[in-house]
Amino acid sequence: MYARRAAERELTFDFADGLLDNNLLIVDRETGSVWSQLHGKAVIGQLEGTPLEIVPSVQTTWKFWRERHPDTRVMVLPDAEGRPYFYRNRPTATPSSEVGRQTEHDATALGLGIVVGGEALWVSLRDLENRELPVEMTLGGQRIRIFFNKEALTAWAEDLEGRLLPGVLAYREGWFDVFPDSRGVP
Amino acid sequence: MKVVAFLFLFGWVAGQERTVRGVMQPRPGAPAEDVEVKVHAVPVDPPSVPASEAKLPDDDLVLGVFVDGKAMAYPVRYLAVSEVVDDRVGTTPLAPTW
Repeated sequence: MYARRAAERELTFDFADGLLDNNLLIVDRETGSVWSQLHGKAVIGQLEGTPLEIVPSVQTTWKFWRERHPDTRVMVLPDAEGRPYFYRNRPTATPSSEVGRQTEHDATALGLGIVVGGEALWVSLRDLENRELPVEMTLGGQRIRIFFNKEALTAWAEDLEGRLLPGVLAYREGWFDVFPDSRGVP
Repeated sequence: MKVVAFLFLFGWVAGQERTVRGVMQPRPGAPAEDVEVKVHAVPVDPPSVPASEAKLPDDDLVLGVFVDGKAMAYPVRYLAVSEVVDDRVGTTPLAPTW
């Protein structure tokens, strides 16, 4: 997730067709610059090369988030039912029994991607499921802890003070397209 | 007559697709081609409700963020419709993407 600020101005983004390194593109209304979501910077236009500020976030189940943040608000789109997303082949091996309009993704290829101090790491959720948690290691010169919750199908990283570090649940292929030199968890 | 002409022109302009110079890379590692890409407007400042009013299944996926002392959840089912929305939590303008 990004803050909509760059080059000392607030930006408003729209979605653009096109692909770069398997990543979707967004366009700001103010300059028409094209931005790559996973690269986190403008790749075409007036603001080319300008990075976006990352705001740490977590992808997880509604239940998991609500229990930890009971005062949370939730975005709604009054005119959209939306497209439910489900994961098949979850690490807990509970297959989705609902097929149809729902979109299924293969959870075995899903993992946590993080970049700390310029060093990138990707670890699969399946790998984390088999480890003693949290995993503590050094990345980019900083000690970090990696957490995993298999019920919520989520993973995240924190610093030693418990602050959430920027990370994203990403498929291995997509992550390594952008960060080919990523390391794994020792 | 002038009003009719204005409304016709407004509708014609509003219906025009917006495009920008973009890029299409058919597969990772392949040359990226400069192409005109269509731009699709997305929700700005979408509404939100307290957790007690949310009608989401427990196992629905959300992107959760805690900023400026406030927590906000963005259901993936809605983000998947537009890929990105433009929102604000506290004083921080946010672009949750999917």
